[in-house]
Amino acid sequence: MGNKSSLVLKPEEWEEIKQETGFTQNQISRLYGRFTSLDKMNTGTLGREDFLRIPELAINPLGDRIVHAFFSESLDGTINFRQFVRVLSRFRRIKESEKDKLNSREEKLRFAFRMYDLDDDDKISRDELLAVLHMLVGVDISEEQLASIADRTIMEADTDGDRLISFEEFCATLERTDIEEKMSIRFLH
Amino acid sequence: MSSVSIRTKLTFISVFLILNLPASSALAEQARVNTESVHEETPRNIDHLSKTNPTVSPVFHTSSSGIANRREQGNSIEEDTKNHENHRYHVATVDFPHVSIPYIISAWILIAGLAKIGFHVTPKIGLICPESCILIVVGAIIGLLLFYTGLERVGPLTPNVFFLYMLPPIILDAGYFMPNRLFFDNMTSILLYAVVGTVWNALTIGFSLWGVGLTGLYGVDMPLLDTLLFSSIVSAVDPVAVLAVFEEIHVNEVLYILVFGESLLNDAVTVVLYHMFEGYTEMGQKNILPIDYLAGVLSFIVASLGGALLGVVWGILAAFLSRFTHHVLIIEPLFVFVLGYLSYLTAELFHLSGIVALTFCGMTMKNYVEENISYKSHITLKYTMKMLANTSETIIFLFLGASTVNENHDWNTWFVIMTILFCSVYRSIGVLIQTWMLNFFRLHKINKVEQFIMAYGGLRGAVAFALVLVVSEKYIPSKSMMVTTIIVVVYFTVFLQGMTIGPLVRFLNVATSNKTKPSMNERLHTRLIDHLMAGIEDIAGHLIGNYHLRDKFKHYNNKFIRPLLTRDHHVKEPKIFETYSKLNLTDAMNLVKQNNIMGSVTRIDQKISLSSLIRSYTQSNLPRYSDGSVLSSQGVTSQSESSFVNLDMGELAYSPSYKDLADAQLHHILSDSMFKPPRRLHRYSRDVIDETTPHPPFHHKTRMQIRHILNDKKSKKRKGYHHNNVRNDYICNGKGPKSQKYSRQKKQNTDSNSRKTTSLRFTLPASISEISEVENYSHQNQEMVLDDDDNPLFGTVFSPDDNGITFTARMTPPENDTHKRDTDKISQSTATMPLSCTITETTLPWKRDENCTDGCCVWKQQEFPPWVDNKEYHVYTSLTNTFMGKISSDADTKTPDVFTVFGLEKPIQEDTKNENINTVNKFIVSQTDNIGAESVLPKEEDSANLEIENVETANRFINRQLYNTGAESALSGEYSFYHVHPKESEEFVSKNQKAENKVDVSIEMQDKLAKVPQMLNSWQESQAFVINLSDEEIMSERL
Repeated sequence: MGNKSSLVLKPEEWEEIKQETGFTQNQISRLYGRFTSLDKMNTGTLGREDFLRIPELAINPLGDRIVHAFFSESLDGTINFRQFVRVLSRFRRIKESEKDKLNSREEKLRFAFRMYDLDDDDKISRDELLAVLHMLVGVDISEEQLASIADRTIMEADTDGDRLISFEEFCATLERTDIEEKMSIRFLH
Repeated sequence: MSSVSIRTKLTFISVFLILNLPASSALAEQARVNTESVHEETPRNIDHLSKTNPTVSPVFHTSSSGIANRREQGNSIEEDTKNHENHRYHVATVDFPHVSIPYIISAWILIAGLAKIGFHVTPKIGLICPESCILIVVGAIIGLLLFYTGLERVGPLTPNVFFLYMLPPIILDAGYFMPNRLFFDNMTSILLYAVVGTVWNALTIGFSLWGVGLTGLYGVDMPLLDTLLFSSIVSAVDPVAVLAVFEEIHVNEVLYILVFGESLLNDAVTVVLYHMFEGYTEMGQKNILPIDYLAGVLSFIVASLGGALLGVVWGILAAFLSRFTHHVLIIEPLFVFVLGYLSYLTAELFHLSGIVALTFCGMTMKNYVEENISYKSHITLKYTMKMLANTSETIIFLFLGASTVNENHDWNTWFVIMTILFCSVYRSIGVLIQTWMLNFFRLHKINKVEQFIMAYGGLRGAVAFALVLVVSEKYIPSKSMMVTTIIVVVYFTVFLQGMTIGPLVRFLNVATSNKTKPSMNERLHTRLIDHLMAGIEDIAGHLIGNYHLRDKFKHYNNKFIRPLLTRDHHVKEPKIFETYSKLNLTDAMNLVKQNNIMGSVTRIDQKISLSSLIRSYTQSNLPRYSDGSVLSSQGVTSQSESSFVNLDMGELAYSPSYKDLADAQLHHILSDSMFKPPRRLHRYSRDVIDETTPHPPFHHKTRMQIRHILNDKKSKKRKGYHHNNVRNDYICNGKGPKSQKYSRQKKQNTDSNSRKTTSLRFTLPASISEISEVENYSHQNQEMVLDDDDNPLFGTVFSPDDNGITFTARMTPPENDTHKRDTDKISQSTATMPLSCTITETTLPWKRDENCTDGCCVWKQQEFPPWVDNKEYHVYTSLTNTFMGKISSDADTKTPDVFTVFGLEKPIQEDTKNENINTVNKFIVSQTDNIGAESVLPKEEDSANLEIENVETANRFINRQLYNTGAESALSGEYSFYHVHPKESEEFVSKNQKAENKVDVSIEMQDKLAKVPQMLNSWQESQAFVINLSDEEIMSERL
């Protein structure tokens, strides 16, 4: 699918997207409206700068990371509408009837994991964790304090002793958390 | 003298008068004011009270009447005192009215406490029904007692007492410990249930009751406004009852917050509706204009929003104040209470919803206050709040029970039934409709079971009861009927629903909450997810999403609010740090616990530690002999067998990795910080708690110094022992000429030694340290036998303070009675040892038990580093080069054993090997360079035992060595012992030779082991070599 062609959605694409993401027609058209409003250049694709232009995202301490994770599936640094919807569909609420869709628990967790895992090696290293911690708590905290928190976090999660948090370990730590609910938003109809 | 006494008497009396009369008159005035105010509020009420033996507001009644009594009494007392002036002075008087009010209150509190205790010590009751039921029952019983003893006026649940004193603590507690996030997540649902649901309930119940009343079923005329007033009272879910019941059934938190939040917020609605209908009733139905309805609706908005706003303002004020309260730590928690209470009172002042105000006040101040106040204040705050709330709750239920017993009931069966019916039905319908609407929008859909629990959990309680008491009978003639009905409804919901809701929750499998402290990962990741979701909502363009709003609030909170309200505000995510420090705290506490356990464990372990080291390493050297011979030490060996082959004792003793060093450091830090110095003189001050420095930091160096001092004392003592015991040790059995000679030698040595005093530091013999343990050793004659050429068995004693090695030969043949007297000393000392103990354990000072009876026992080694038995420390895979070479050269042919490793002559090794090894049980070597080694050879039942003889000497020596070198830990001491010594030993050897001391080696061996002498011959260098082979035939060699 070329970038240009995604500017205007063909009916069969609608269907594909609906199949793939589980969104309703209304939701998709609403998201499409959002997509085009973000796409200031009318290129049919969104680049990182388009996202960073969102004012609320700019004040989000993890804004960069979110955008980074958003682009994890794209090769050229841009995403088209279909990819956009695919990523967003991860945060759709899980219905009891559906399984193995994009919005499964694992997919949700995978997305969160990617926020940490900058180098895509499927492990969260101490430095990666520390970087995120820095973003979360601000800059005024002493390095040792953060480091000790990071160490503690890794120690807690690390079961195989490699001082890295793998995705499995990451999931294991969040076993008690209601990820399905926490990582879902209600998409407007 | 007499004048003085009279004067004192007079002063006393006047003081008494001053204290008594003005106080009582002031109280009476106060009571009058109170009654007047009540009059203003509900004039008919009081009339009624005074007419018909009242149940309502008895406290005022009691107090006023009591005070009136007291006034009379005061007069009488005055007269009495006048009389007393003339006559005599009473030793003791009873003046109950003086203390009656606080006395009764305290008695009630005491009863409440006792009831609570009673509830908790009888666990079976708790399974059947919730605490609130029991309390009501207890209250009712007390009420009955009071009623039949004619004291029913003591029953104290008046609306004012309830609303002004008992409700606020509960609400403050609820608001302060409200899970804010959960509350705001479900805010819309809660508001819908609280506002729409309550209004719905009030209107439907009111109209239905009125409708039914039209049929004349009640037999009483019930105008619409009356039923509406009644329904507005009865429709509200009661926070106290809900709290009491829902805290026990542990439903999931969303369900909990929905019901509980509703019960808190619907107070605004109830208050508004109540005042509205009360006002309408007073105005009369005909006089109501449409503007009044509009005013009613508006007043609702004012009451609820105003209450919330007021609460937030007071909360912010409290938070701001808490910024500065660290100067007055001791009253820090007070501000929270006072400001919360003020918010409540202020709201009541303006007829706003006090409950809403207090809830919001608590919720607002909580986060900021928690950041500002000290940890101790936090604890105080938490417990005080819980205590007050719990007490209030208990007393409320008790009073509720007690208040039901009065003569004033007006039972109307149909009215009661209809009320209960409509309450249940409309509540269910309301919940169903609202949930159906909400589920369109909610992320977490409320399922049918949860809806049922919500409807079922709509408990009515003391709020309704207190409200109905306020109703003025002037306008509503059927008040007593309403009171009775409300009581029945309360009983119905609290008892029937409250008792069955627990089993229902279990039966319907409602998701229950499993509240656990978040782990560091959970906290961190959920924070991250929050931000992530906020970002996703931003991207998807949801500008009213929960996450988005929260993120925005957080942003502004961090930017503007927190800098204003908190002292330390540079941390953006205080929760992360909170979790971290909490977890660390628990860790530290666990560590302390573990350390204690570890301490005891290691102390036990120390007993076997060194022997286990040696054992394991020997075994790893002798894999082919390992069948069965080493079984007695599986515990230790099993872990170490596979782990390493390290033959270098020095290395073994101390081979720290970075981890070890870090661990050691940590250990020191921890033990330092856990060290508590004796309490210093502590200056006590009423308003200052010395919080900053609970105990001064105790530095490692200081501690080490103290340790050294202690050790010095010990070693001095020990030396003293030696001196005293030297002679005792020289037990010579002078049977053979040689042994006589030895004894002579020894005496000489002793003499010289006594002159030399204790300055022999490093001139000590560096020898004889190795020891092996004899497993499964049961023979008596095993012990320390030295044989001469002539004599079968001798005990050897190495005199420790000597600079020479002297062996005394003693005969210890079990069958030979003639020798027994000579040896009994030693044999006794050894015989007292448990047989399972290895020789190492019996000899090495830090392993020996303290029950040494004779003075020769050396002080127990106290400081043995706890890590000595830690597997990680001696898991050691790389050998030093020197050893590697030797091992690898032999590796293919045979397993290297002690002799190879320690560079002993080949022949010995050959000899040992060539022997029928099975016969040798133990082979102990102590040699010049002080590296001891042992080889454990397979044992047969009747095999010979090879054992080091000079146990005590070795052990003393080691001890001395340890202390002299000032070793800080035993292992490092050994290290120095093994490695420092060669020089000394050489020196010693030469000295020894000069002094014509010869190295004595006694061997007690089997005939089969004929070659041992030869082996020993080749071992010229060794200054002390003791081998005992014990069997029937014994042979000894002296070199």
